Amino acid sequence: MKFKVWIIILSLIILAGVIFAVVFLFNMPEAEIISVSAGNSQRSYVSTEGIPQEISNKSSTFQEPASISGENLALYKAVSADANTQVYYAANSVDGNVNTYWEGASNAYPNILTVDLGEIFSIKTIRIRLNPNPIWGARIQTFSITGSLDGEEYSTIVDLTDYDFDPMTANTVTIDFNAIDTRYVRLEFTANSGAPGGQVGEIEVY
Amino acid sequence: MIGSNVSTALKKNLICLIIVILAIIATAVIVFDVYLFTVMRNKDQAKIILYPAPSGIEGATDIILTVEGKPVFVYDTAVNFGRTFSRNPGLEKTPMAYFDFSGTVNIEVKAPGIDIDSVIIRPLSLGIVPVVKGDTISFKLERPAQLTIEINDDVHRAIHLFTNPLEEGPPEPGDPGVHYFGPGVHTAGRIEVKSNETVYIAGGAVVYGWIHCSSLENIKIIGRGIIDGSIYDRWEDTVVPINLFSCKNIIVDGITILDPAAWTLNTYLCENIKINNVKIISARPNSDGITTQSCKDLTVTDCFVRSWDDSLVVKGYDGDVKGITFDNIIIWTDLAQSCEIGYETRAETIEDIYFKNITILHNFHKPVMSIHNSDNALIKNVHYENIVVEDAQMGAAGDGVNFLIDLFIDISQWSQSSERGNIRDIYFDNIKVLSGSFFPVSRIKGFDGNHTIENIHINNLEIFGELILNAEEGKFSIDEQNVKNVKFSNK
Repeated sequence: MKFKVWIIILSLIILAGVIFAVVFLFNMPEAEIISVSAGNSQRSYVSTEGIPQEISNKSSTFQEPASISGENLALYKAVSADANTQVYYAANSVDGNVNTYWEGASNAYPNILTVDLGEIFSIKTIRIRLNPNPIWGARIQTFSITGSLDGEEYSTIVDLTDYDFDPMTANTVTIDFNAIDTRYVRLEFTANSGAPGGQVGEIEVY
Repeated sequence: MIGSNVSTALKKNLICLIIVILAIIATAVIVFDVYLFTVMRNKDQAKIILYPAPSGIEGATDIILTVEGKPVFVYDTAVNFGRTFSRNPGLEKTPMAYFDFSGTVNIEVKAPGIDIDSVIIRPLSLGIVPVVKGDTISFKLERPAQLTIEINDDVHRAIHLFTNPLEEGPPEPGDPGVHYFGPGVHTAGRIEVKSNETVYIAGGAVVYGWIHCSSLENIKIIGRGIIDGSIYDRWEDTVVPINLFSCKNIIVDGITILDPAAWTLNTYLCENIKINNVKIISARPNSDGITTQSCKDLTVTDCFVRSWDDSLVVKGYDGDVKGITFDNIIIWTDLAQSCEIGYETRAETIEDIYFKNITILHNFHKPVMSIHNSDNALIKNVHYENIVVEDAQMGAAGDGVNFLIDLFIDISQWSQSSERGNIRDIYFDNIKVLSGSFFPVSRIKGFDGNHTIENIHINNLEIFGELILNAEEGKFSIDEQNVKNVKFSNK
């Protein structure tokens, strides 16, 4: 009789233990896998006022400046600067790519950028462009424009002026003046509210 | 009667035996239940974050990677096994994948159609012995790690798998002060950042662009996504993906940087910089990994750097260097040095530099540990601790130099000072070279009687399983005239 009780008790313990283990193992949490959706491909950025906005990441939605009649005489021409900040070389300013740019030496104004058009042309418009991506933010750059026939003697084309660069207007400044014959075009920067040196994505001469 | 007594006794014994067996089983079941209840219950539930394939990015087609049965996108990024310093250096591609997890996960790598004879998962210290069946490799990871998987002893198309810890409180799109790049491809160009702002590159994002900060403070560049330099020309664009000048209190964490068109992550005249869990694979000329010049209080932790020029490099351009720590770094050096101080050493002092817990998976070119003082600096108190070289191929390609350790004071093509410097108090502790093509040599060379190398402590250096206790055993060439107090020990 005693033996039977023991057998029953032990069998019950085993049964209960096995049931517990089975229930436990079946209820073990599986790995939680979260697949981030590709739908959230947006980009938001910090505007100059610090108010976040959303923009598309497609460059086609950036402001494009109006086209100017005539040929851009500065494109791929020889260009030099008195100095540049690390990799932002002068050549970036005439390479036809507004996303690559020249930046003068930091806090060492004036920063001087000179384009050699190769021969003497009559010019009447200079357009300075920066990357139109709104992430750049608006800025004021102060520079003068001078010209030279021989690369030695420079005379004023446009005096020192503040120019507003704003992605809302394609980050482009168009400067018209009375037609003048010149071979060399020189920009002399004395201030930039958006960076420690003068910046030129593209200089276009018409 | 006698027979019946025997039978009863037998029966009794049998019942006793059954009770004992039942008692043993019951005890085992109880022990197992207690184990389940105490150990298994407290085991964290695995959590895995998978990121979407950015549309328009072509991934690797020869590798299928899954975690817990779910596919992980495999990128194909440039690497360079060549030696040509040119615009078109003959790049190859290698697979790279990443995801985040906690807990324990099962990973499967399939190379369709490949008969897999052998697999090496590096760093070897992870101790991963994968199960291989036909064209499929499977293994478990119990914590996030950065690793490479080499199939059939081939370093070409080694799979780079970067698994990250889960992100803690990532920002949301539109959060103030955050430049947010969600999953997908962004052609950003220069990302203009101001002080106190965050650049967040979400997992699944590929950002073509660069961040150049000058005189800024309190900036974070974080996330799980990729900054990719592959669209930029090495000569015309030369963009450094992350370039910090005169900045303070900067955190760079969690991101991956691929195929930069110049140096990869540069810090110059900076203070209090923390770089953590950054993964770099570079391929083109001058694409040094993590470069620090004239910085103070800079720590680099838990990073992976595969580079086609110096992997970790400390320079002193024109300000003193103090307090630079590289800790828990995995390196693969395709060209130049792995852990370098130099060549530009124009600071007055370069001191308190730590290279700790570093594994070099492969070095195919120049010294693993080097101090090249080719300007005027006093370089002192430099520690190389717990360094493991898994595959020493320095000089094996016929160029480069077969140096494990190279300390020198000399004029080089990069010298600008007319004055020479000194080197003092350099510590090598627990250095192991596991294998390689041939026994790597070392060099310690001063300049003249006033420009010397002194107090070099080499403790527990092991090359190919041999403990090195003197210069001869370690094939050290030591310039006896201008080098003083080189000690070998085994503590």
